[in-house]
Amino acid sequence: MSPRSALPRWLAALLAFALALLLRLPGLESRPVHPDEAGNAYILAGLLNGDGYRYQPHDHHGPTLYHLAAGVIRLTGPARLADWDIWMLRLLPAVAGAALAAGTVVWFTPLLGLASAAGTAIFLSVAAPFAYYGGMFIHETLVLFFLLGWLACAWRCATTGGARPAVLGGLWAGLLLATKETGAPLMALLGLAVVITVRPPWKRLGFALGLGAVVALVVVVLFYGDFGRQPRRAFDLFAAIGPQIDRGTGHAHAYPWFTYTRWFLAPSPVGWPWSTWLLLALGGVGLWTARATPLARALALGFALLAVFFSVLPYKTPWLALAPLLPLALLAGQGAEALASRLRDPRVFAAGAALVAGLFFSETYGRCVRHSVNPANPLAYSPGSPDLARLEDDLAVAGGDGLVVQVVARDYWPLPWTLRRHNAGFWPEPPAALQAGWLLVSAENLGAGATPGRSFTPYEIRPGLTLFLTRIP
Amino acid sequence: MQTPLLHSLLLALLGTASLSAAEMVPLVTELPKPIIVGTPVPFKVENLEAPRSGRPPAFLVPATAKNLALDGPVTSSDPAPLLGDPELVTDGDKDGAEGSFVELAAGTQWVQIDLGQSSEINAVVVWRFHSQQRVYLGCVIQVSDDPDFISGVTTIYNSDAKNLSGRGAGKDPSYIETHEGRILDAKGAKGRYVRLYSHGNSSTAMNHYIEVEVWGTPIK
Repeated sequence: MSPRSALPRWLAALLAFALALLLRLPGLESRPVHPDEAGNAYILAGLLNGDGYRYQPHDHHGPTLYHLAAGVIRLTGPARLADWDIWMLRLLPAVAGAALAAGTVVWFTPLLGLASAAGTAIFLSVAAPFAYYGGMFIHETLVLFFLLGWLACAWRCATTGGARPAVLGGLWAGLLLATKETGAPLMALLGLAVVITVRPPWKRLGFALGLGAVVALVVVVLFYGDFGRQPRRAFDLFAAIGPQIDRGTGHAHAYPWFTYTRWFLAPSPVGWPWSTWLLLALGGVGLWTARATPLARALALGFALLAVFFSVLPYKTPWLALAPLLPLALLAGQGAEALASRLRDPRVFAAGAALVAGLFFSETYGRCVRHSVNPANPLAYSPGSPDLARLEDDLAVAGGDGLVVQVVARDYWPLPWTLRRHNAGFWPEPPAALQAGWLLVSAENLGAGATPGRSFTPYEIRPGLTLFLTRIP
Repeated sequence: MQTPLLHSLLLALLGTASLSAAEMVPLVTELPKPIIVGTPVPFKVENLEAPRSGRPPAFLVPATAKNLALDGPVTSSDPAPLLGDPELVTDGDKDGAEGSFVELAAGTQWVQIDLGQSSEINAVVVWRFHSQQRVYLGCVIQVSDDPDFISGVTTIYNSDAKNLSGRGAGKDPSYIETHEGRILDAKGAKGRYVRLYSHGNSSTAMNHYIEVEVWGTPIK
């Protein structure tokens, strides 16, 4: 492709990046901190303090989020957790979300055409699920970005072959696996869809898989081994296979098979999930109009396999559904392009585009801004409550930073973030003695600070989880 | 780890100084760090009230009103409670520990308090359970002169949005149990019997009552 012919693609990618970033940046500071964000902030603080990253195969995810966020923190200045603001952490997923939109244009224009790829980029920019988690300091947006890069390379490997897409694909695969363990089933299922659709020669497939696996392994070993600083941990990802299977099939966060359908298709008190309906409808049109092309069939099959896999898996959180929505969005871009090309009357086209944009934006505003931590919002899974800001303000009024705050509760996240500027301690059971300062206790531990005449002020730290504050003289 | 060593040295130095200068210094210990855990499982109850800030608001009752339920007879839908006896509901003990509450079986259950005579009721104050954060489901409180609650029934509180207890769906908000109990406005409802329904809670399928106070005035 000549530089001139590539210009529209890069311009469109730039515009998609800007649009997605513009939609994400204003809200980075407004939403209360999610418990997972607070936990990730503490892991990042450990990395920046020189402790390195210590992967916990039973619970934590891979290190790329923390290494990349450490770069952002170094750019924005403060080194101590106490000096951080949440926007500094959320900047990385916001940029990753914008890069996802731009990457769609860059990588998929040669495969789908500029109009289809640009349509997908717009959907990935504005659709509520992508916008919501694009403003959360968790692994998911990075997962999607690496998965998209890998998918483009996997398609190249299957259709044309060659060392370059295999190496690049291995790089993306390694980064994906160094981000989150779910990368493995995501690649397996999407890869299966590609192989079933394209049926590449075994030799080409073996070459791509072999070369890609070697590159991916090098990346994985580098990240999990902390770039040579913790060589014994280099293969910890493989130790996570058993625990992650246990987790995925266990009782925590276990919901019935139809839960994603309910979360993403059923109306809730915060409104209709228009984006999923529109993506499904446009994806259906895209599949129908492009059914002769193997890529459309592979995307449809990939969406179906991922949707079935995550529905059958007992462990469910709403952000896991972003992965099936990715191939659907690629199909929807084709559907939008097909519809637009058939609408010859510009007034009808303008009215249709305005309607679709209105539905997308109304849902995104409702779920990402107006009801961002409303428990009725399916995207707001175990969110922090607005009361956290009140607690922060009340403690600031009481004595500024550095107060002794003793938290006695079994469940207290994201309080460690809220109390990061104080001298806070956390006990699951009441300690033998309490220091002078402040005491935050759960209902079952109220006796720890109860003396006649002492009053407790309740703060809801998450929906349904209230802790009580009192002063210990 | 250098920090504990440094702390020990500092404390030792401070201790030596305090001996020589006879000064007292505050003992500073390192507070436990948070334990990083995974995504919390959400605690979801429909129509849960927003948390209150500060002390509970004052609830005014006539000066002649008193707790008509204290030491009054109590019956329940569960003939053999799993823990405790129905009498605990009106014994004046609001402690949250075992021995102070009655535990009724799973599903819809009720306790009923006999006030002795028809009364004008200003408020019902309920302590169900407060040694753990939980919300009771299917809660309905009714007043009647009919001990079988068939006729002349007045509902003073109903948070049973899904009609779990079979007394009709209600729109009052559910709430999280605390040691403060909950004052529910009876708005002068008249009756001899007060019946409280529930259908399990957000943690278990069981039903609990620590104490119920019925504030009002007997009708002469």
